[in-house]
Amino acid sequence: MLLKINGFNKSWEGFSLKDISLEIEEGQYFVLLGPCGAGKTLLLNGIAGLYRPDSGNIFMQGSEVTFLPAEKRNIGYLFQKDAIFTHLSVKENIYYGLKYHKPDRKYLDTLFELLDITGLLGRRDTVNLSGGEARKVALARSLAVGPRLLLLDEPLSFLDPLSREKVTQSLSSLNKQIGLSIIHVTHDAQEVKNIAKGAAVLFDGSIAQAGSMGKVLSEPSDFLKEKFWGCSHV
Amino acid sequence: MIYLLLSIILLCLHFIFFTFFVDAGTNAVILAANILFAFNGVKLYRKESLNKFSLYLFGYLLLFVFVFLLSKASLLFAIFVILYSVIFNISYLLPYLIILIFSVVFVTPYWMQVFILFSAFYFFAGSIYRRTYSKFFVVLFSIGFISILLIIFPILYIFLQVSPQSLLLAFKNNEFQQALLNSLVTSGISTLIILIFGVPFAYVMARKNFAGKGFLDNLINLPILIPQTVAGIALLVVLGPKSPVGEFMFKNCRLAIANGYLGIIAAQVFVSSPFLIRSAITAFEGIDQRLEDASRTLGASELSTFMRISLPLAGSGIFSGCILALARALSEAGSLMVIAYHPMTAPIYIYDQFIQYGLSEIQPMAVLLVISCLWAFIGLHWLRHQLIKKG
Repeated sequence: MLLKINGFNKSWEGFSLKDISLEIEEGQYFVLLGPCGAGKTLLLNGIAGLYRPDSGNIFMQGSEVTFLPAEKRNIGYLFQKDAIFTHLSVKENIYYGLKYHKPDRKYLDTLFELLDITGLLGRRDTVNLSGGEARKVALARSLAVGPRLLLLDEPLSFLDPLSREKVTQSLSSLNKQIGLSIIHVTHDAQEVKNIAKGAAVLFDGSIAQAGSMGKVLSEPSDFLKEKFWGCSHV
Repeated sequence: MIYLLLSIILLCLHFIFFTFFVDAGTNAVILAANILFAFNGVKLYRKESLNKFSLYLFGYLLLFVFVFLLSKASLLFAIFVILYSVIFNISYLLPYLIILIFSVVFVTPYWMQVFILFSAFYFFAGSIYRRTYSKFFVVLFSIGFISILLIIFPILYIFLQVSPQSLLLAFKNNEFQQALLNSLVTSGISTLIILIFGVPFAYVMARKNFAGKGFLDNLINLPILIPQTVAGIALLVVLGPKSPVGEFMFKNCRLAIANGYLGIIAAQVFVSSPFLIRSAITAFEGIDQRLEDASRTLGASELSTFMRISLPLAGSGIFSGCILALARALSEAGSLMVIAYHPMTAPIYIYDQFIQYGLSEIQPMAVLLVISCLWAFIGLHWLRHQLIKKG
């Protein structure tokens, strides 16, 4: 078991995550579905360790990480708006975490090849990166440190169709070739229905349904049929 | 042929009429001006539309009525006519001439200042209109310019009253040099102290919510709110020779805080810290929290994140704050009068000289102080731009 969340509660600015429990297997491609404002990003931040939960526990590979600060959890995080460090070059961005983590050279080579990023390494500034390029740089940056788990917050948003296709492919091959465990957060079930294995649906701060991706898609609970799937997404 | 004819007519006119009003020399100058005007008029009449020609004549008439008849400034009239004839064809300069004539005729004692300010106004407002075609913004700017006017006018006035020789003389004054040096060194040290202690504080204020934050936030502004003399008195009570701190320092380190460099620095830190801290808070608040979060998830501790992400990204804003704080420290006088009159800083020295010798004596020094401060800030701003360019 890679990640186990137990009775996780957090209130933040009038919104609250209520009694979240999740289990994610090693090497799994897990998708966290939910409409905007369901608390998906807040949950991701909690897993990443950017705040302490009000109650509940998080276990990773058997040991408790609930009170471990973000920098010690070794969890990669791709933020929704990439969060590129504008004062650094592309290379400095990607190599940022290598000061704290030392993955072997071969891993980095495989990673850069997989992401097709070698062409971007020479770029001095990050201002002129296209949306797709910036996403790739951010992805490479979070993966260069060799994380145990990768969190993706709407990784396909604000991208043109071609870039979406490319990023989806990269994510899929990262999962299959390197065996990377991924939690992919999105409001659009369509974009991940072919690659995701496990799925959970978050609605208004609590888990409304969880199971395999196929099951969540084909047998949505009555509540979700009405509230979520019914409107636009499926 | 027509030029010759015109010249002869003008010559006759001048000999017949103008001899009654002006002396021969002035008359000759006016004649020259009129001939230039007439020649240019003929050229205009041939090349341009009748409207423009009438406008040309009308302008002359106005000049004649206002400058020659009403102000009785005949030589000035001649100069204006010459300028008018030359500039009429260069349409973008014409408004400046009109401003010049207006300021010389109507606000004679302040004509130079008024001319400079109005020209500047016309330049900026025109530029705004040409770029945006928005009358609304020109009106807004016109209203706002009044506030600029209140700032610039006194400084411009004192600048235009001082001769370069007196400036040089003031600069050679040893006491003044020493005072200026005192000012620069103490304000530099003060800024450094605020930088070291204020930036960490600003980072906490920008990033975290905690009980009593609102109170602290207001407390930062306190030095701006309270009168400078009161600040000086408060500092004197705490740090003066009779206070425990002052006594301790004097006994153990042989250092006097009041009437010493330490006192100057204490007062400057007190009054100028809000400017740096405020700028730093704004700069830190402007950084996307996500960047710091990203840095944390990549393995950087909070300290590393602060040093590698927050500080470099806020650097430009903090530097601006340093410039503001330095400016405030340099210009501080009120609290220094109470806690550290000696050793004199430049503002105190100027005040001291003013009390001893009066207004005219200290004008060159005042101007010199403004110039030296301006240079310091132009230099710092230049440095800031260089740093930004480098990244």
